Amino acid sequence: MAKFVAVLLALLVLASVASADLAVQVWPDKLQVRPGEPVQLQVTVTGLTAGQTAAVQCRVARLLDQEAAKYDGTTDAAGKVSFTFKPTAEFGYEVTATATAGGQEARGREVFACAQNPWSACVAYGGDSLRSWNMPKPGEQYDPYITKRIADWVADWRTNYESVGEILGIAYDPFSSVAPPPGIDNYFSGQGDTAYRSTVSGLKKLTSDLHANGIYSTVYVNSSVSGVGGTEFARKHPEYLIFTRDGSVFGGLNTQTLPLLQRFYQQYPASLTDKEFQPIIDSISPGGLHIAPLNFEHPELAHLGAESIIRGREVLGYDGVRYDGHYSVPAIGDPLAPSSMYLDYAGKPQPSVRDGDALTARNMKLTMTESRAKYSDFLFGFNWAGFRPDNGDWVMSSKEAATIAPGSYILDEVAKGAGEAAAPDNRWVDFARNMTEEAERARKFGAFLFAGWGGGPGYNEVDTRWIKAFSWAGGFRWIPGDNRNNKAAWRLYNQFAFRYSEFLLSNTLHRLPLEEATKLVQVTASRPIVYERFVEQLQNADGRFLVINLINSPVEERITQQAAVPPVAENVQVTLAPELFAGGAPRLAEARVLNPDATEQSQTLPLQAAGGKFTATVPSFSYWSVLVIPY
Amino acid sequence: MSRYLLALVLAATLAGLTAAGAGPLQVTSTPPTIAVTNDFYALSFDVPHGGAIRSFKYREQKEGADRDWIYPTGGGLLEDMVWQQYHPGELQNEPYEYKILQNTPEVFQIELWRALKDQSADLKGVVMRKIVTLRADTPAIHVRMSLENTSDAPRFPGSWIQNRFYCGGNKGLQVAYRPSNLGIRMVYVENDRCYGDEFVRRPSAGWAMTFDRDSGVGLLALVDYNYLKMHYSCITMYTTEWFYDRVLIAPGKSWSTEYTLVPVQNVHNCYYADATAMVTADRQEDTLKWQFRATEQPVASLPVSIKLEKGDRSAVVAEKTVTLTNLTRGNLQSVDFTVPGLGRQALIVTITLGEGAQKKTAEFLYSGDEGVYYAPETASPYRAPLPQKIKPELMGQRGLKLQPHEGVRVLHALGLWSEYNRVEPILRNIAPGVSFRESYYTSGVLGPELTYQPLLAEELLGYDLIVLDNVGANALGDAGQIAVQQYVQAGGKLLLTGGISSLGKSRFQESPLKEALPLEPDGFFDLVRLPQFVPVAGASYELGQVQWLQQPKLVRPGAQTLLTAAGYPLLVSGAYGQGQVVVWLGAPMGDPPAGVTPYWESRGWFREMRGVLKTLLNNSTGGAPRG
Repeated sequence: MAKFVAVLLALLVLASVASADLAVQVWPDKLQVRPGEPVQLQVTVTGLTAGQTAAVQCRVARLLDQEAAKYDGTTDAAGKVSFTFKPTAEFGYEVTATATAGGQEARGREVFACAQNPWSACVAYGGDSLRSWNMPKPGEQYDPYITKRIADWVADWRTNYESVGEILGIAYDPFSSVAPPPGIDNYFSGQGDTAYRSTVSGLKKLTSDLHANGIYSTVYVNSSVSGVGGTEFARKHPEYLIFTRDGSVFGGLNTQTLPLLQRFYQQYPASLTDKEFQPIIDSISPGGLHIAPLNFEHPELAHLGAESIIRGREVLGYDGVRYDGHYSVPAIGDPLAPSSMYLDYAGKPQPSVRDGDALTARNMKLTMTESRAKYSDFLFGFNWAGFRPDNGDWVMSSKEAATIAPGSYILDEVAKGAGEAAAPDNRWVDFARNMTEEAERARKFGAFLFAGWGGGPGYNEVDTRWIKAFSWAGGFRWIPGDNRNNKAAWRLYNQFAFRYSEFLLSNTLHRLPLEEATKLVQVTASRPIVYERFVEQLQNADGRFLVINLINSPVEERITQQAAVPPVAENVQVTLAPELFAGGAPRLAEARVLNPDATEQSQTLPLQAAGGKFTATVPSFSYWSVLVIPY
Repeated sequence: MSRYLLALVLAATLAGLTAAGAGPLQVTSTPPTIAVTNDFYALSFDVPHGGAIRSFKYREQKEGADRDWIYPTGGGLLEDMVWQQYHPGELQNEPYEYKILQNTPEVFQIELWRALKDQSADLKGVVMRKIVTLRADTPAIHVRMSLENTSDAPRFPGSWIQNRFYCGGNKGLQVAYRPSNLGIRMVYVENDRCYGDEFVRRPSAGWAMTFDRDSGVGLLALVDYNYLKMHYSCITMYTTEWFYDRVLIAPGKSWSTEYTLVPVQNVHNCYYADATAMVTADRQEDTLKWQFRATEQPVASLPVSIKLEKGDRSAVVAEKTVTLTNLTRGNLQSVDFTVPGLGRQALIVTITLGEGAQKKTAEFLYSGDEGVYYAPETASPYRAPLPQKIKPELMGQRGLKLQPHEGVRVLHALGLWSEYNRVEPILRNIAPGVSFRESYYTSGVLGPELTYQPLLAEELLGYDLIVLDNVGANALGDAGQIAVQQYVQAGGKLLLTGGISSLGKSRFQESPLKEALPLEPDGFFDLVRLPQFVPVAGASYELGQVQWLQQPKLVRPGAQTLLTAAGYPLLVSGAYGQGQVVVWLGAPMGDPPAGVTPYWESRGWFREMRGVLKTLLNNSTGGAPRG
């Protein structure tokens, strides 16, 4: 009770510092930049009287609270002032602007990040959200720049700290309807049932606006033949198609929409608002005209693919691509596939196992080499799901090694069930163990693990917090399967993770083996705390840090998407053996506990030494706290 | 009395004895839940939620007999759907009505039903009804499922049964074995990932065995092969499912079928199963044991013969005939083969059970260590013989006759790139008033289909011509294949064109329509790419060149080969019954170099095909006209 009163009093004191009128907003113009790239820190002070200016002090901090820059200035007549900051160190920053005017003071804060490889500081991957976003609804006039909708999406990613976004569903390659018939160069079809549709002009506007906000974008590669252009490609080169063991062409096919699609193009763009074509606008390639995928045993297809994604970047302005197993040999499994074995038109099986992996590696190397020869910063993502068990060990194929080594991201779609109530017997402990182990494997190769696409609408506010805490504590990122709900928790936690991304997601973090962590770290509390897999050591130019993620154990063992609010964990004593500090001792006699929840505070705690061990006591937290100890 | 019948009689006697020894059925009816327990299981029906079994405990299993097989986040046995509706449809989770038909210590029988109402206009008024029979003396769960058409229009539903459960009640390493034309096919789940084939689209028999690899506890499903469309195991979600062929149900009529679920244990694979016996295998080095056990009831005597052939059928490796006696569910009896070098070689195994009219034969590929057709390296050309499905409602002789009518009517099934063949412009040139019914080829999760699939030959008798334009037999569906065959037999005309979805690539060789063709398709990989475009020989006009074509196994005696390319037949015509079939084996595919005119762009193609089609429409039984 006393603590609660103290917190309330502190809040009252803070509130009294600011004038009722004076307010400050600080806004980095970019969410994420590369080292050396400038960020404009735009400060807006409101509540000033006419002609009044405010003195502004702007402080940029990183790591725990290490000052990276400090600026002083005065607002102009409009109450604005801006400062230019060029970060050099990677990961999260926090900018705090303090304005003083007429004896009153106000503060505003915001976060941004810096990373050479955009994946490394990315805490959440914006995706699956751009379906049909700039196409007209029946009766609407077509406007290629539906500016509001573009602005809405950019703002959505921006305010949720999603620094890389996937424009899921478009398919920029020569086999698909993305290469439309001559004379029609500005219409995009979607992939599968995502029903994505857009135009070149709209998409260029989107990627341009994302860049202006410091957000990178990738597109989903769909190496299938679909649409009019793709269908014609396949007709000329049926030798590139793959067939199942019963001789039928692999993948879905629907000839019914072909005549409609041809007329659609003939009458374009009037067709965009013509009800006759609504079925196409609703679902241009799904099911239909989608002969997927191709036999990438033929290296010329990989060349075509590389040319295509380069052309796509030049036309559309995206930063990279995500492969969904495409260009792999043999073709990956697919729900439409009658079998797991693929052959050419004459019945010759595609190479498999090692030979297939080697060919896939060749394709991906070729694609990445050609793309990066043109654009060295080309981003790549793959959902190989990386690794497979082999006699109790985890191995990776040459295909995977070839693709993840250069700092790509790995999307594990198998994790899809991990957060879903529908997944039988899905338990938090399994989710934490499996995904953390996989994240570690990816980390060893310099890659970044993203888990998706799971759950989404079913999560309640509590689930959202735990899913995120378990993910980041485990060193990976969780991608929601549908439009995010629980936006408050989502945004709050993303902001927190973005700010402290170095302590959560840096690939230089060293995770202690379970046995070692259990031996060297003891935690006692009013209720069970999950931490054993989440003990890590970080070494960077600023020193060394011990990082321990403390997660208040979910009430139910299984992931139900209806998680109950847990009792608050209180008096959480964390006792640390000296071996954790490389034989030395903590740099300071204090630890920092970082907490993302709005009603709970990050704070400095005393670190008590006794009996050769060190103990920090976190008074209480509801879901997740990160204990960081410099040493 | 044959030995097999004798065996059955003895089996019945044994069953009676067993029944006398079995504990009584215990029923706790507290609607909406009805719980039934016998010596073998304890289960309960959830009437308000699909009338499915939502709790199932297998009391015989050695460990964990109190574990519920139905996983906690949903799942169940006997879950009904129709596959025209998206999962879960309007049956699986909706309230059923029910009536208990029999409730004695020996037998419990419950009838559950629900009408389709809302989701699909073309299924409205179809009633799904199942009568589930549980007996004190067997672990088998018998289901008689009916679809009744209470509407005033014909209905054409396809049933879909889903069972979602953990074998033995543990989320373990679940495996499914299903027989197919490619051999016995396996799928399993490990670390939440699927390995193998979830779909078996061309089953060769009506059983599916799902089991846990560690405990050997499993569930056998026995389904009527005559209406089985495909098996499906969404193994990462621990399901055993099957889809039925669509069935034609006239107003006021019904269609019914039966299936059975049998919990089993000590199962680590499966190569054959029916209601009498099931067969598993165990191989140690060069000794291969074929293990037999009773499926539902003890069998007093069962004659069995087994033949092992080399995978290429070049030689018989071994053969045995024995009579197994006192076969029970629990005691495995084996027929052993020890053959030097048996090792890992692939074998074609033929197992025959019973005698006389009751004799049943199964043939499959046994792939040595793999045991199943799964690993890519076992890419064998082997194809299991597929039993002919019997569908009495479609196959009867009905004295079909073409219907006289005004004008020219054509049913045109359009496949991929069929527009290049220009069939419709050519027909309009011949008969300006021609009317077309167009049916488009689609292919998705449930396999190839046409947007209009004929069901009965009667629907086709008013057409002058059917064109399957790069469209396969499989797209017609079982009913459509029979209908087109009957149409041609009755005097109809059929034009087939080649392509990636035609002839051998579309199962004409397995179709009842096969006998109507003037040629025999050559397997699934009959598509030929010539080294370059070559001229068409034998044409009356300059027909351009062709590079892709389909190669038949043979041209039937009496048929005429009218055009060729590089020695391959290209245009073949033949009579069938009262009708006529013409096949163009070329495909409008490839990228011709400059200076080469492909056939589909040539003026000669239009003229040549004009002659062919005109002849067909004029009821000639000859080949393409000359001059």
